[in-house]
Amino acid sequence: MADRKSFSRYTMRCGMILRSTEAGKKLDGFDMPEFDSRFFTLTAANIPGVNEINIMGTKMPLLASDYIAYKGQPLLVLFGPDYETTELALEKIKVITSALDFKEDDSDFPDPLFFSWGLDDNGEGDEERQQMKKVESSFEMEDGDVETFNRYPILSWQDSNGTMHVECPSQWQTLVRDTVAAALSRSPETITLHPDRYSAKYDEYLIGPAMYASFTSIATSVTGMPCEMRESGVASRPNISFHTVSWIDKNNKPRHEETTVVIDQGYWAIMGKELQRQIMVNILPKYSLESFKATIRTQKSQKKPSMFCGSMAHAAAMSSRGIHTSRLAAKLDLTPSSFIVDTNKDATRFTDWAPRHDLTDLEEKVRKITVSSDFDRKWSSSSLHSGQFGLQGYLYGIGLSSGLATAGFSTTTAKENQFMSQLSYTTKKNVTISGFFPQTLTGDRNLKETIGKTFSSSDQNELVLFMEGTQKAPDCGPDILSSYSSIFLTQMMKATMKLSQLARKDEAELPISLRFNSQNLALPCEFEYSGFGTAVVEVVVPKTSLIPEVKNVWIDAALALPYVKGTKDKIKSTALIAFESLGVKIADNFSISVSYSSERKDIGTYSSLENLVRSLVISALSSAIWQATGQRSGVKIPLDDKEIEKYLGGEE
Amino acid sequence: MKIDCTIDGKTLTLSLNSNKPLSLILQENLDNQSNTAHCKGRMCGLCAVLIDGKAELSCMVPAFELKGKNIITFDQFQKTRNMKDITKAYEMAGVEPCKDCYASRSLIFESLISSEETTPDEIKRTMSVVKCNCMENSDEVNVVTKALDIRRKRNVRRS
Repeated sequence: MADRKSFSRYTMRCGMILRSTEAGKKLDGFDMPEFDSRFFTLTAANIPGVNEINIMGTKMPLLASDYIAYKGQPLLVLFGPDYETTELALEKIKVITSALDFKEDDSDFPDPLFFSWGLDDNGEGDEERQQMKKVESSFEMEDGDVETFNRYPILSWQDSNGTMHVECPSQWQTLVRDTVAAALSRSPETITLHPDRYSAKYDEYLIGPAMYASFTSIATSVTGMPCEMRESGVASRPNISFHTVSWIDKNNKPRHEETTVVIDQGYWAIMGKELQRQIMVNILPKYSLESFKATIRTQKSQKKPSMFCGSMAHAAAMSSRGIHTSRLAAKLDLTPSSFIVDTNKDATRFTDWAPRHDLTDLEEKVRKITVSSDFDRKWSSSSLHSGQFGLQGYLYGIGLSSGLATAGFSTTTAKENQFMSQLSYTTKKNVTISGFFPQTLTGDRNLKETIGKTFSSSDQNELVLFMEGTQKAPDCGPDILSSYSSIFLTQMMKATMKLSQLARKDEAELPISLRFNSQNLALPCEFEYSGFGTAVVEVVVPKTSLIPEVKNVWIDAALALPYVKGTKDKIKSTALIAFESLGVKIADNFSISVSYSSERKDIGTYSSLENLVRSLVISALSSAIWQATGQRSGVKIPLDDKEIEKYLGGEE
Repeated sequence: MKIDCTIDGKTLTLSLNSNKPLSLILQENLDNQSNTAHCKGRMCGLCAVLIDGKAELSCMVPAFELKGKNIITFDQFQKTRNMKDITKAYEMAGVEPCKDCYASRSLIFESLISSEETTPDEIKRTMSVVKCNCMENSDEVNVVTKALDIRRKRNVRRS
């Protein structure tokens, strides 16, 4: 194998991408000068294999061939002797486009998802609604590419046996290998992947490394030289807008409700059906209603296809629910905390899909955080702070949010693919896990301790835990919420106990191995919850800058996380990262108070802490902004000063 | 233009565009493993290096300013005893920067420790260049104070 370290940067080719500056055009060709032999130009026409990347059934071209689907789509890749020369050469290439001569269709997009109960035959509810009070709320998570500050190198080289080596930081390693193999028209066995460590704050657009690896591999196979590209990681999120209407009767009880969700995933809807289902699960109200109707529609647009990695749909839907709860409370002249406690009493089972939640613990959390943060008093006296009665140079708002942490409802892919893992106890008395292993758990210090205790090792330092073979980890984004990582631990701990029993037997001949399924296929439903939390966010909006500043935050959570070391720090950093991405400033005298308990009995179900904290923080912050700006409008995330000014102008 | 400088103990003569930032030189020309940040001037604060012992953001240093300078990146710094002091201070303070800002933050800490800076306001001001929110201000002051103690004790033992 060609040693990666022995490459001289003088005998390498460096690639740079030419991206489209416009969308919805026909691509006629390129106007470029004659480049000398130091350069290699890669277009859709000279890809030896298939110009396609297949992500969970959605197919996208690697490079645009006939038409330009979205702004920023890769059109051409130029490889040159170094980045500076390549950049200069790339500027000389001009793209020739013309108007599209065909009409785009969205037949490959998922159909709208409907869910309802208690509606009459017309599907519109009865006429009594007209006599009821109406409460509306809207919430929009704007799309956008959040470019991370890290640039990842993607490197390809070929050894004397003809094996293509690819080094890139992807957690979708099967996707990388299959895409490279298809682009080169080779079998996947001839591709060796060297995965780099990958860490990201946000859910990132993980498709990039697979596409870039294909480009570098093709260039390597043509030029015979190692080829490298350096690109930034991008978190590309879909535009999701929620509009919820509730009708309240004379006894101040919500009776009917309708929610409309519009998703804009861009030109291709990657895992669109799954996204719809995740939203549906989380927009179900947690209070009793006579009738409920939800519509989730996905629309096509000339934007970059956005990939969601778990937290996006979950957090957005749960936030919209939290925001609407605050609106309902305000309409009923209640504080959000008393509304939550009041309405949770008669929560009923809704569907087989989403079972009835036991909200007793959640109510307790709401009470606790209301006392510790003095929320009710601050909420009620907000008008005194908001500038109506004073001459303060700021607007003030406080928001409360409560919610459930879910675990394991990434369903369609989970049922289509089965992932097996092998646990071995070796002759050297080491424990090895091979096969599937979620990368989110790699580096978990306490995992070793727990396995060590199971094997009753007197000195845990003697036990070496090898975690191998993440090749088949399909979706391990930073905030992933999938059945793999949630159920894997339960299954693994059961297998560990069994293996330790086998190892203790006198006649046991080492090594002993056990194979176990990484998922629990016998799960009765596709949705589980395993934890809950509440958050209060206090915000001031200076009248001079109109940029919201977070002053104080209180978070209280209880999750069924098997390992609790450092959890408080994780909650803090997740909240801070969420604020950063929401476009708010952290005030100078900022304080965050976190309380955490792990008294949940369903230990072993790995619920997503990031999802819970992120969604709580979004909805509490949005409610606080809504209160600060005089309760005039729906909230659009990320926040900016122009939006705030618009809210203050009284626009509905 | 040709620039002579010392990077991670190696004396190099680099042939570069004079305005190429040091961060890109480290990544593209030297394949530096610790420096992957590229914020395009958005001041993320994740690309710090030590230039003549002082922490500076490498994306703000153009190539022509490197002439005759001694640059130490985290690749080299992590192998030193000074880094061990900082790691020990992280453990004692019970905090650790996230993976993204670990290298940059550690180098800025080193800059503060070597200049024996103990004023909390100055520490906060210097550390504010790192835009990552994984560490609180009070923890940063704590780390610097603890690392300074460790460094002084080590120096006393040596003497």
